[in-house]
Amino acid sequence: MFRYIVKRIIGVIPTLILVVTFVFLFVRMIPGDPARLVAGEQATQEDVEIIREELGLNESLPTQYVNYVKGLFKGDLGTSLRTKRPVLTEVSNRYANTVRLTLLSLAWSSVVGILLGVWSGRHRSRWQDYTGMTLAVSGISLPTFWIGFMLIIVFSVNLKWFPTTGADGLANLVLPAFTLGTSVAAVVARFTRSSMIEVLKEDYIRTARAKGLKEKTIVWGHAFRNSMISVVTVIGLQFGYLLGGSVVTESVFAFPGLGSLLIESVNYRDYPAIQSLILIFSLHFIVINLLVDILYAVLNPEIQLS
Amino acid sequence: MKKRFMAFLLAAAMTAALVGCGGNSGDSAKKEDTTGGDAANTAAAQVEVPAGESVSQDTDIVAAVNVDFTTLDPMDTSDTLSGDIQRMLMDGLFGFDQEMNVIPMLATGYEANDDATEYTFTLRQGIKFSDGTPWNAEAAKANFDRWGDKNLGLKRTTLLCNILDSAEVVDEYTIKVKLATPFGAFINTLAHPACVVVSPSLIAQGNEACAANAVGTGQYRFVEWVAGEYLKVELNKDWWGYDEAICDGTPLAESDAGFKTITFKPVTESATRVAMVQSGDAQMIWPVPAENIDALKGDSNVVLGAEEGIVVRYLMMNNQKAPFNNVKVRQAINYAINKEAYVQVVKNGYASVAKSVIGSSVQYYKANEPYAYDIEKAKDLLTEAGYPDGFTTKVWYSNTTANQKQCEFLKQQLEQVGITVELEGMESAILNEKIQDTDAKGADAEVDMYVIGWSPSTGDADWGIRPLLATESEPPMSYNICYYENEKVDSLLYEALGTADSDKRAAAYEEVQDIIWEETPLVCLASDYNTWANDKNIINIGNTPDGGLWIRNARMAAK
Amino acid sequence: MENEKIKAEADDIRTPFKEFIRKFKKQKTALAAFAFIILLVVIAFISYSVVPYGINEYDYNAIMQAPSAQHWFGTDEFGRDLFSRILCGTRISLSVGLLSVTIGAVLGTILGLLGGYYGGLLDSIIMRICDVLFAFPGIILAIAIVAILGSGLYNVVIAVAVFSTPTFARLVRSTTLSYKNSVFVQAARNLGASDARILFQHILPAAIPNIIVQYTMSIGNSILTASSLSFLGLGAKPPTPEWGLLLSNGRNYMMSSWHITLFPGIAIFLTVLAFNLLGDGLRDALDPKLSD
Repeated sequence: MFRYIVKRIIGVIPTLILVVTFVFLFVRMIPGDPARLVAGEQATQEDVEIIREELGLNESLPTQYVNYVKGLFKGDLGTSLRTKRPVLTEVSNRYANTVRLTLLSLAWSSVVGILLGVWSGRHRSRWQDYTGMTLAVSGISLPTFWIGFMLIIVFSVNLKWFPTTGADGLANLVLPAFTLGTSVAAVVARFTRSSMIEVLKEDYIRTARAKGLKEKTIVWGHAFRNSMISVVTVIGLQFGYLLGGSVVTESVFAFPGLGSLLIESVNYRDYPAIQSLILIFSLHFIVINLLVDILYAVLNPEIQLS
Repeated sequence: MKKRFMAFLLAAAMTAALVGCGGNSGDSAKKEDTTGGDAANTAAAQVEVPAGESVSQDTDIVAAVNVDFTTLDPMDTSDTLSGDIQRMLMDGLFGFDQEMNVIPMLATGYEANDDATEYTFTLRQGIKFSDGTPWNAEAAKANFDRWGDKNLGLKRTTLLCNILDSAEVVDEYTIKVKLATPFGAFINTLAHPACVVVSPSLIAQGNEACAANAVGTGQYRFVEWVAGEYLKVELNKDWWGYDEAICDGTPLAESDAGFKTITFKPVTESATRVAMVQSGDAQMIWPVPAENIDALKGDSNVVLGAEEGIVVRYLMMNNQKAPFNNVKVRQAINYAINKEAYVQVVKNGYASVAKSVIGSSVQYYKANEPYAYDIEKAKDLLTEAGYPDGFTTKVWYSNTTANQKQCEFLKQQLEQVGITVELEGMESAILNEKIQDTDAKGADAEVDMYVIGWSPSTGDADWGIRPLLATESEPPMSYNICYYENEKVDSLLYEALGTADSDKRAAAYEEVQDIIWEETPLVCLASDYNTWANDKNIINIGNTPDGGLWIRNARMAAK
Repeated sequence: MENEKIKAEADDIRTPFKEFIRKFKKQKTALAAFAFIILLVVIAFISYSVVPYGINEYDYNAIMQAPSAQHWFGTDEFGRDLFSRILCGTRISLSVGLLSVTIGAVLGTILGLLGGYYGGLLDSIIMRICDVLFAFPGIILAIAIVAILGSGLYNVVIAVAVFSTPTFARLVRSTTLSYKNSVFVQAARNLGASDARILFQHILPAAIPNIIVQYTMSIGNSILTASSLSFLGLGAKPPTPEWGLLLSNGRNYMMSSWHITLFPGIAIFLTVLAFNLLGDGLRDALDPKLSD
């Protein structure tokens, strides 16, 4: 077991190196000259050259790469070209916002997704199943920005229940969290339903039924408990997806998070910022994947053999 | 009609300023929906509020704006918005009034020698920076030295670094500045938002401190800036602009104007910004793009404001490349575009047909007769030029919603005379690179047509024409994407630049505008209105012609 | 007489395909979704010849009109008929969805087969690349690709294809791994079948059910991603009546003219919903673990 875990952790290293290198080259492949963008619309050629030197963009590519990797080892993500402040400072405040948003989205969508999934699964092929699944699938069938604007019009402009923007309190998070969570709710519901169907066919459920246990106890106490592990895994994987998937939602709600920073940074070709953000997203994804794999291995020792 | 409307606006603004009236019914939906008049309605719909009953100096307000702030250092600012905020926190030696006339601010006057190479400024007395440092010739010298420092490495370094030679303290309130070359537009340049004055104590702390903090003499003081989230300022009740004595009898702002604090929030999505003012999450928003204006028309709690600005929208053509190297083709294109329809369809009525290459409030503006919409004439000209069946070309533009809309319109217009236009929208970063960082110039350049808007932030004809049409401004130096080369225009531009005599400058710029109108290296489409929206209880919000926010006398009436 | 008997016997034989049809017929929502998709395909083929107005028929005297007898879905900011534009947009939006996922599925299947079958270094390389692509959230990958290639419909297709490739690769790889040492593959190998024959005739068919399910569900997702890219200004170019572009351009008019976003929104919603429901139904019918 221990060896397996160590092996998995070591296995992550080449992926990480690849991601770092890939991202470095990737951002530089995007056409557009950061020096010119930073210099602004009405800048003269002389301005642009001054900026280029100031930003260290006149260095050769290998030098820039070495500097970047060296910085990473020291925990230095570089300096934002756009604001000239350390990327770490730019990111840290927004990181907290995005994580709060992500967790809230995850919380409501898991609860709703599980309820819908269990409901559909235990009434397989009946009207409850069709309604539940159609409802859930609707969540992944609407463009995010459209949901967002609809919510703003209804709940902010007309009813004035929730604020349009901001990240200060829970009220500010309600609309963006709802928007962001709809697709996760759908994924969780689908997954819960299938594992419920699988589990409900098992012998021990039949035994439980034969023993005359209450349906509620069978569904929640036995069937759901046994499909929990896989459902929790899926929810965990959604965390990484949500973190990066919030780009559009954050734009709609002017939410000061990582997604809107990424868009802004791409617009400015702010290389250090883009690199750091994608690295952060990828790192979360990789770490969560790793944790899920290890969790699986701990719970289900057969995995190691295959 | 348009003239009368502007005059009316002016009168309304002046009455408001003199009597100190306020409040607003804001119910623009009930009024007739003639678009130009609509803007006038909102400005005219002011109700009386007795002076002294304003509650605004105790009110915190939220203002939503379209882009994020980048820095607080004026010399490192290339975006209009950061400049607007800085203008509220810091004053310059000179500044603009709301009509963009240059007015003395921290200087009271100047004398220049005949070749415009030596300027002596007298400084206003009795002013302190927000950190207590007094404003005097030493402080002025610290700023001039910074502006002239070639090694500054900031975005606006070249604004003055090649022009300034030295600054010398004559006495406590007099400073003499020598220039390396004659520079007729010096005073206008000093009124540029990049040249607002920073406390010498902050300058001494270096560029990083200047980017994160603002210590000026302005109407507001800097409080806090959380990147991406908000930037907060508070009222400086001791601002010299309120003081009758310091202002030589006419204060810049009335004693009860201003807000206790203003929190600026960057909201890039226009639809969201509009929702904010409608839901009451923001008390003012700007700008309001033409597409979003209808959403606000029916809202009785929100007032929509609009004033003609200096941004002119152009359709540029590559003058060295066939078929645009033929003046008849360029004129044909100009005749084929219905500018009235452009204003109505694309700008929702919130613009006026361009009558010159520069906007009407830019210094030395001269109006010409717009090219009439005449498809037959356009077809005749195309036939004369050898293109009876038209041709296929492409237009480049940065792919904002507004640009997409105007290019769709232009495509449809030119189709009527047989010109097929392919729309090639690009992200602005890519567009800039394709235009500027290319070895293929002039006839070899890839660009055919290009859509651009230009706002000369010095308010002077020079910055409105030279970067767009002088030979020296061809890419990559600046934005003469027309690759227009006209010796007469060039020499007139330099002549005007080399003198401080405003009669000579006016004559030169008038001739330049006539030549450009005739040769039509670009099609001047329309001059945008600047638009904003605010809570109906706020009065006296305005825009400067360059699209900056003007809230010096703004206040909130008691509800 | 003799023939009928044979036919009856044939009916009794449960081929996997018949089994699938029997199970699929029970999926009522999926059947409805399937019918709707057929309808969409028909519309995609005939729309240009049946719509009442041209997709680029401008009428500056009829801007932003609400739905009426002349304009069933109203008109847009240029006075164009929205009904005609949405109907004609069907072809574009469906093509984007189908084309991008098909490319992704073909690429992913080949990579998955090769990696799973040959293993070793090739497999490691393919899987590491998939890991990297997986680690990038989909929309961010799409943004980056479109930023490099430039906006426009073709590049949107490529971007979506790239980010759907690793999913297919993993899916097919795991099937390949579990079948590569199976008895029938061993037997085929012993009979001297070539690798290509083994891969495409023996292993691939086993992976097909999973691929079909994933394929159907990805189509909806890719139509949505295309519309998100339009929202970010990186999607189709005007005046293309791509649904995402119609929706995203309409967002500024949402509060003044409801019809401008409502109809394209419904078109996207129903289409994506149909593909997702069909995918769900197919999975229920094809996945042995879910069978009754």
